[in-house]
Amino acid sequence: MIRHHINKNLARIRAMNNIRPITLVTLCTVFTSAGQILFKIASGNLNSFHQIIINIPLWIGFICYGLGSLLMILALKYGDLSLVYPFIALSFVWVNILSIIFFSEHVKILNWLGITAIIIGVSLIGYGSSRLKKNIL
Amino acid sequence: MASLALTIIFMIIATLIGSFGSLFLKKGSAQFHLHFYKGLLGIFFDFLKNYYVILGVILLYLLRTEELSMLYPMTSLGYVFVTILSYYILKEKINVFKTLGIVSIIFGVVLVTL
Repeated sequence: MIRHHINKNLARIRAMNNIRPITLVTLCTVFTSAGQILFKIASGNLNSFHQIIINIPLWIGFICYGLGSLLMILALKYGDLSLVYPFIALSFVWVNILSIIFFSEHVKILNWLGITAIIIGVSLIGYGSSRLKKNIL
Repeated sequence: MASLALTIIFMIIATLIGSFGSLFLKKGSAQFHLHFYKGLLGIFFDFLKNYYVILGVILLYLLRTEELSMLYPMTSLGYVFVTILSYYILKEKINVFKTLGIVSIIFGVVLVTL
């Protein structure tokens, strides 16, 4: 009884919001960014066939990319293209954060400004899209 | 100078192709179902059977080759193309907030890639 009630409410919330596609596409950007960082780590050891075969970061990177594309297709299945596509820009944010952690790279002030602009833009798209879902322009 | 103009034109075409790739991915995703009982290989074959998804992936990879270009900030044109395509072809609704969001994201991507 309670479960039925919860399910009904969940369906109602899903119909009113874009939580599912946004979660899926954000996870997609996390995976593709992790893949990019892993490819960067792997790129040091690609001199022979044997090195490619035993290069674990390379293979985990491939798996991350595969998972990322699967999540992207699922996100597109549940959400509008004009909502999902701009969220790919979030990968710039994750790549910058991950390169600070793993390669201790220096990020310029201009790049931080860009990251802020991307986060603001993605929030605006999420807000605008939820308004359209509620039939407000 | 002629080569720079050519690179810019090539970049615009590549971004446009990439945007069509996303459009095909969107069209193909409607027929894409995640059946876990089929296993990972089954999902992979479903993926391959889907004409639109394959076309989308190929077009997106065509774009990938140009990403190493000096004109990286120009890839942000893709956000404009995709929004226009989803408005005119997929008949999706666009409002002021979405437009402002796109402008802000393009500004951000240009600043990050600069």
